[in-house]
Amino acid sequence: MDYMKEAFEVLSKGIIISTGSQKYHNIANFLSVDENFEALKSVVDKIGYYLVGESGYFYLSKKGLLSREDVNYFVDRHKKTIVAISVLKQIFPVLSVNSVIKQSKFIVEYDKRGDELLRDKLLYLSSSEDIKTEVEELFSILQKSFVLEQNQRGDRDSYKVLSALSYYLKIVDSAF
Amino acid sequence: MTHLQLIKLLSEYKDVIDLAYRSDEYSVDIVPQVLVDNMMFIKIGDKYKLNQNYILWVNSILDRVDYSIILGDYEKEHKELIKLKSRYISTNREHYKDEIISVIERIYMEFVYRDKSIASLLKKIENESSLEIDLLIEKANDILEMIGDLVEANLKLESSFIELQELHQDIKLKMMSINTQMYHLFQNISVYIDTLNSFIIQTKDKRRENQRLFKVANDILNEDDIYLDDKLMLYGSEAYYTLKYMRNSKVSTVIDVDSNIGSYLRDALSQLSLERVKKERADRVLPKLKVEPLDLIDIEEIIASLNQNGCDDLFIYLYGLDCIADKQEAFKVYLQLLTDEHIVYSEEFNQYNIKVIRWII
Repeated sequence: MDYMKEAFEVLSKGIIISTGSQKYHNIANFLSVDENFEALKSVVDKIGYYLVGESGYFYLSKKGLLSREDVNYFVDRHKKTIVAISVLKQIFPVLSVNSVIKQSKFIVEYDKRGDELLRDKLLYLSSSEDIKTEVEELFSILQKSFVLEQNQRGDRDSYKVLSALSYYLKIVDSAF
Repeated sequence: MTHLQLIKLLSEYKDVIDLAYRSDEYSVDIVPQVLVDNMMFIKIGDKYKLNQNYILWVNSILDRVDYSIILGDYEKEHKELIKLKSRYISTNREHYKDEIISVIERIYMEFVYRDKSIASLLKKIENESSLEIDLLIEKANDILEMIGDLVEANLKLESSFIELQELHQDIKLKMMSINTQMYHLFQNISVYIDTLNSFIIQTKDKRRENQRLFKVANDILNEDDIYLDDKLMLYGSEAYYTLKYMRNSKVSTVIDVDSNIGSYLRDALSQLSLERVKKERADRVLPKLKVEPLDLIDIEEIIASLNQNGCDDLFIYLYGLDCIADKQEAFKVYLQLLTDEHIVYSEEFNQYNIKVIRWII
């Protein structure tokens, strides 16, 4: 029951919980059990929310009308995340859920490429001209979108790719 | 030099050997001459490169492998076995039997090494993170082809081994000691082929996924992304949740991605367009014609009169009646009587440009 309360508290903040997450692994494990998922789903359903659980990630959803400001924010945030994922995939083409990447390796590979298009994408995401700051901002966007999670213990240069990556790739897929 | 002296030599120069092994091309600029004399290093151009056999041995022990590895099909060993078998049969000399056992052992050890190399190769390719996808698919196909060639070679060796067992009890015992493991090694080849095929399919899917992602990202950068705005706005208006985490307690949105997002979108869009069409049609609907009742005119009486008297021009007849106010009213009654069985149409038109109809008694 404690996990159910904890799960709702986290999900109601708009966080997408992935099964591979170190930070939320207790909640993810809890929600991965069908009975627990259904139990929370029926609870949130009573207050008008819908618990989404698919492809290894969970989030809360609710239908409703949005202000123009909210819509713009929504569109802009998703576009930035999509561009950020494309940058990551250009450096690590076969990257997938549960891959572990290093920020330092990203910088080395980025430097090696000397790709102008890649540079344009980073500039779209960051106002900085400094490569280290640009990359930090890129990783920050991906963390805030729950695509990457920094290693919680030990090597802070390591980041794990979370299941929420599929959430954004599905959006891209739907555009075709 | 004895074997022990060789081990001591390697230990003494372990630093330079390690430096060469960890370099990109397994080579260094300077090495002690003694290592060159003992073939540990071979000079190629300006560099000294580690002995290839040493690299292969260390890689196999450390579970590392290069894409450039060539997997042996043991064709030479197979020919050697056939030759030895023939000589043994014709001479019956023990020497040839011992050589056959030795070659079988060598092939078996090579098989074990080859199996480990293939497993390492698959592990390496599956864990590639920065190699271009096209290159990765090409390499996976090369490995698949190389492993595929081994199937036939394995079958050839297998049948040779079965025949050799009958030559001598010692060969049979040797074969029995390795048979089970050999069987597993042969079986592994099929597993590797399946694994590689799955890997190639998955990597091709990933390539398609990346191509789509890069296109959408480029469109966003080029501001040619109205189609994405439309989709995101549609999702945004359909489903949202609170994003305190990202937006200071303000209500914002995330896409409610269901398992069939494409059909969801199509349905939503088709519903929208349907509503629009309905609305346009509603605007264009003409007002219904106002039907004026002919209460003051007794149609039955007119018909009775016509049936009694008949007429040569129905419209003129009607227009002439006292109960008919004007031409418009006469025409309305005229229309109502068009289907009567007493009517006969003519080809003529009267002075009011109305078709002449006769009423026959």
